[in-house]
Amino acid sequence: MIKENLKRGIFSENPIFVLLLGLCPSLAVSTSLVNGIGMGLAATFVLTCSNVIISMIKRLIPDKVRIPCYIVVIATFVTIVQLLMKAYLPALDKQLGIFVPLIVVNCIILGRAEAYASKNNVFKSFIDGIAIGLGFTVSLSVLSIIREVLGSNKLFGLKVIPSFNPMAVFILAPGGFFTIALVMMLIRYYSNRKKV
Amino acid sequence: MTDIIKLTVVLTLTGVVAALLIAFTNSKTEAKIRDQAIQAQTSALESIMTPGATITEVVGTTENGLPPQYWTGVNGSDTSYAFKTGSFGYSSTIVYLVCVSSDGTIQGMSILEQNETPGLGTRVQEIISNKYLWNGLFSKKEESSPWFTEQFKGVNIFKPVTIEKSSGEWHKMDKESREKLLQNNGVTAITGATISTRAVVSGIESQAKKYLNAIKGNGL
Amino acid sequence: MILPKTSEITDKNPQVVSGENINLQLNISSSPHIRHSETVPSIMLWVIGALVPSMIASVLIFGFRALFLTTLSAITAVAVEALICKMMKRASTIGDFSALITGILLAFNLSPSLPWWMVVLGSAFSIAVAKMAFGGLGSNFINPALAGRAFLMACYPAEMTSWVAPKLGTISGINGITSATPLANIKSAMANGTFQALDFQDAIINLFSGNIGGCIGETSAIALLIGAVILLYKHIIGFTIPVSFIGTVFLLFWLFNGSGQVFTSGAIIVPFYHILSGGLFLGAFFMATDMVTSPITRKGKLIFGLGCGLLTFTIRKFGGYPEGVSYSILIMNLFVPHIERYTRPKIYGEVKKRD
Repeated sequence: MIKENLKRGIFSENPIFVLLLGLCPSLAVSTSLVNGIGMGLAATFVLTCSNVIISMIKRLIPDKVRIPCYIVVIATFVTIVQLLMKAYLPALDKQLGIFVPLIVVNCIILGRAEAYASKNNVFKSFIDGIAIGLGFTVSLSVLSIIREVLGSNKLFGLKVIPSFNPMAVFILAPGGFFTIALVMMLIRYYSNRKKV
Repeated sequence: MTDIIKLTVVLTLTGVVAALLIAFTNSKTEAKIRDQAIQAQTSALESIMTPGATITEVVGTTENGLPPQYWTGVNGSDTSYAFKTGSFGYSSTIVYLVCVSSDGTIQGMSILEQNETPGLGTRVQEIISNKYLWNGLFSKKEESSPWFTEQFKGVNIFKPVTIEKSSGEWHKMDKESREKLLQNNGVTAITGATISTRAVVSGIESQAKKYLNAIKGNGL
Repeated sequence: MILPKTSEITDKNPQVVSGENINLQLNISSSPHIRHSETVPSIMLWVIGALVPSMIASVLIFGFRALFLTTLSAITAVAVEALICKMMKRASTIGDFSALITGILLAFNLSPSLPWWMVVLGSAFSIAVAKMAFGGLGSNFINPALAGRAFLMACYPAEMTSWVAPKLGTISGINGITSATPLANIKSAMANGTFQALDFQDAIINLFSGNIGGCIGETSAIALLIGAVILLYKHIIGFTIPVSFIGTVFLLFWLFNGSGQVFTSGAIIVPFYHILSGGLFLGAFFMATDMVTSPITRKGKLIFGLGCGLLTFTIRKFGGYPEGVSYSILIMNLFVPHIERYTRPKIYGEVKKRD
């Protein structure tokens, strides 16, 4: 079941390329691989924790106030992540800046809380959180690698392609849209070919 | 009526539990975060002062145009001053530490905060590495500082600072043209980010000059 | 006639659906139909012909590298279009020569010192992303050549704004001297406060002949005017867009000419300087009039031209870039659907609804 869930999170229900959720942070932080992985892992942590807690307390919360309660749960974990990052990974915290607090309004997390965690048991929600979170991380890493290599010819601050003059547009906002479109086009192309 | 009480109780409880959790994390990380900030500042100061200088912090008053806080580095008979200043770039305030000797020559500089356009303005902090991914990833990290602030070393803030745009970026220049640039009291602009470059230069020209004059005027 | 379900159209190749399964009745009026000899290829060939004087002027001004880059850009554009048609299993559309023109116009908007592979990259982007990704000729919403230029501008701002000195009369290669464009001169003069000292009179004759630094096809005003006359004579372009575009820029720079005088004959040299420099003539006659990305109604064309002129003035006067023709046309391209909606002519006999 775990394997199935992971496959679902990374491929068939990939949050960025299939569900098209959380595009705003994906466009903004996928300018370098370190940022992409950092953001992905931070979101995975928040998503898993909030999924577990929400699944635990789902029966205690009246329907009318469930959204504010979910937001409070999510915001708590985001604040914890931010404090931990500031304390132990100050460089990454500086790079990600405003986008860590913005995980609160990342639609992937609220979406999973509403669509999955509030209907399933704790263990299932935990697995779902990890699967979707990893899908988010993997997609962000793919975007980041393409954008960082094309846009600044670097990975981890080291050069990648010899004598290649990087195309600065790829680390700007339009490059983010181009890259997402490109990856989605390739995914569609291959999945359509498989069907035929 | 019972409904509204129930809702209020649930929401309040959720808020209280959340607040307790955050308070707990905060109490555990507070000291560490403060340490990180102090450590970042100390290492930034050490990197821009002349090596071996004794650094003392002076908390000045903002009267007489003094910076609210500055540092003196005494190294034998030489005294240099470091202070934090900032100027608005393209999309953010660029905050930097700058260290000048008493005749106005910049000893070192370090950008502390900025939020400029990625790939253009953020390059004020860019560290050029010529190592490739396959041979550099597991080897020892090279010690190098950002080229943009490196080129300010030796520039005098009492003379007008020129921004050179046509000669290409500083890190691509050879030794001779770098010396020639310094004779003109000039720095090179970041390609495509002239506004960020100009912001740093004008911040140094106006703010740093004012601070240094104020410190010297107070007989320190 | 069996109409396909929507899902079938999107899932399968649309041509298979329309070509084999159903017969689409496309004739909506009864015969006889008047056939006009004017076709898409014939129009495009006339446009290419109209660009020849500028190409000759460019070779005289910048040397044969200008011709090399233009040819390279054109070949890339055609090759990319052919390749994409093949990939999408469509009939090849290179026979309408529109890709050829996109390639030529893109090169005309680039610096003659640009590395050749950047030209190839820009040309491929123009065709693949700005044109074919949206469905090919007639479906693109922005001018592909200008989109390619904007892409290169965002990728390589340094290379895109380094110019070479013109050398009218001497046919030779590029020797790498960087020279500013007339508009960059104005911009730096305004920043340094030496604007009043600029010698405008002397510059005009160089501007008119094209003996100035700039993009491959934009410098020679006289050559561009010859091309424009051909297109106007053949009714391929109308007067509305170029006149309103250039006129707006002229009037605004006459009004805000930097000398504090308003509409005086003494200051008239400033607006002349502005309309002759940069890519204004190339943009107004050859790019803003692009049939696909400009409005079709006369009122719409007027609004389009005025908007382009206003934006060009704003960018040149207040913006960070010295030149703004390409961006202003691109921005106005985005407004075309709205302009067309609001300037749609009334159906004969239609009464305006009262609310």
